[in-house]
Amino acid sequence: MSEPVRNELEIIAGAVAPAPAGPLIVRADQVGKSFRRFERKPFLLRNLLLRLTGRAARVKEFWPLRNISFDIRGGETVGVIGQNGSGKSTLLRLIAGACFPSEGRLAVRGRVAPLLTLGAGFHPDMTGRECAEVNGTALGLTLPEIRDRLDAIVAFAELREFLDTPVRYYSAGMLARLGFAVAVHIDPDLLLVDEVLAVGDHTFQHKCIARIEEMQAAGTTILLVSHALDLVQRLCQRVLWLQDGHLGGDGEPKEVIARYLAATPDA
Amino acid sequence: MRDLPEVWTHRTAHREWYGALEDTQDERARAIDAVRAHRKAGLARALHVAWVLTRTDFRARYRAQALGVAWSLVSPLVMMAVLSLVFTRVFHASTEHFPIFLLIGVLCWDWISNGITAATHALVNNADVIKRTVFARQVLPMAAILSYGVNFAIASSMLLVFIPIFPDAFRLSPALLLLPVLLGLLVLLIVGIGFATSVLNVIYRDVAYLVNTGLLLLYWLTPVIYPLEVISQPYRSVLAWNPMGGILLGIRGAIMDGSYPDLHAWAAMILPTAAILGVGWLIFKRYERLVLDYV
Repeated sequence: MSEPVRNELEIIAGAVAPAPAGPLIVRADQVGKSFRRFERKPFLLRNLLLRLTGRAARVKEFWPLRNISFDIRGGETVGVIGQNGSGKSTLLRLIAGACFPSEGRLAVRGRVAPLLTLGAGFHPDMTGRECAEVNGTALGLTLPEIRDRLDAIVAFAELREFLDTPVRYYSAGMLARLGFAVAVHIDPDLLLVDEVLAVGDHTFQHKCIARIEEMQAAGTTILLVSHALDLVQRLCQRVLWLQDGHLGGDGEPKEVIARYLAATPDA
Repeated sequence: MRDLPEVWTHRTAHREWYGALEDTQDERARAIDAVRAHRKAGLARALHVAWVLTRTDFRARYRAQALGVAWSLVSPLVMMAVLSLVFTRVFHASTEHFPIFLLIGVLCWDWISNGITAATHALVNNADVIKRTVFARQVLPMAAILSYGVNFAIASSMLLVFIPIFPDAFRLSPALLLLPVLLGLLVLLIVGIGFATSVLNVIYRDVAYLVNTGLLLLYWLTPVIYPLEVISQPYRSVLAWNPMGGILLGIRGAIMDGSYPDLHAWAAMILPTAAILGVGWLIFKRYERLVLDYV
């Protein structure tokens, strides 16, 4: 929807930053995602009986994302903004391959390191070291490769004394730091950051942003979901604005953020 | 910035495939070698993840228990002692070398029931890893089962201690070479069940209870603590098709009598195992995508 507008602007003003010339790394083609909606988890036995008697209830669906198309090129840093519930996290999960689109086609290549929903779900009796190993291997490294990087990871996460403590005893902040540290140390081609900068104290946030800038300089492609618009403007060369599951804007950060703010009521 | 791989991962509602960006004939032909290499690397990676998970899971489990790995010896020993006493003193069972007969049954059953239970919860418990990363998710139930396999191996070494105590209960014969085959079948069987229960448990909330009840039933349908001969016909012929029972009898026969399963016994092990593995795999594949939306 905003594509032609941007191109016109480019021609008229000639002011938009030059398009990054890197090779394509993500292509979303008319992507949509639907979820089934339940009040609560169903029972297997009851469902089987209902199905056998032909009285299965129709599933209610909702579409957090619909008709999204964009390309991302290697080396770009792209911000994703939008109100709560506009589909930002779903978009990141789709790109991470952690769920499948319900329509359209999504193509991704290279090693993807997602930083999504940190904290919950680690096996509580695993130690910090084991969590790093499991997450690192699941993200595509081998065990020896992770061991080589373990020093850097724990130094970054500031968890050296707690490395062999079961994560059951970790605080939410410690878990988040560990997750972030693993993801930024696996040399991803594409780093997906979902609002994780909200955790951790001031110093850690600064360290994270510094690390993101470092990776940016090294040519890593980054997708950054954030409500911190000043941060998005500072880090990103391009912004995707999601509005109720549709692409409300795609282009130069200043301009898209201004349109987003204009379209969003203050209170 | 390093070069990006040539191979793209494409995902749509119904399919996931590797290939060139454009799905034309030419591009497909050009990318064919890269895709093959990518697949191979993917398989190697899945195996590596399975290994790391098994190892971690086993360690984490024993960290949580006071006696550590020794615990896996205590439970079957206590079971064996109690059951031997009850059956020989109270019910006057006449099975030969009953304690060893029981111990083998209890060891195998512990693996079966713990493995299936752990596999059922494998996807739910690892929700965090599933949500954030892309890898062959089949390895999660498999790793849970193999991790209890390590237990089984450690606990089974106890049998060696009993050789001098019950020398007549063990027979050193070439039939022992069958054990890896029989145990392999047992793994395939519980992995097949674990595939199905692990995905269903994410979606339906009664699956964990159904599995518990099912295991209780299965315990009595499998000759863990009784010899098959005490069952009268025609029930015995029906029970003989329970692959778990068949495998257990095979294992017992190989250790205690040096006997080999006959053709009928092999068929009663292999056919149901293959069917269960196939159905479990299909259920896993069918529900895998939904699972990603639920965890």
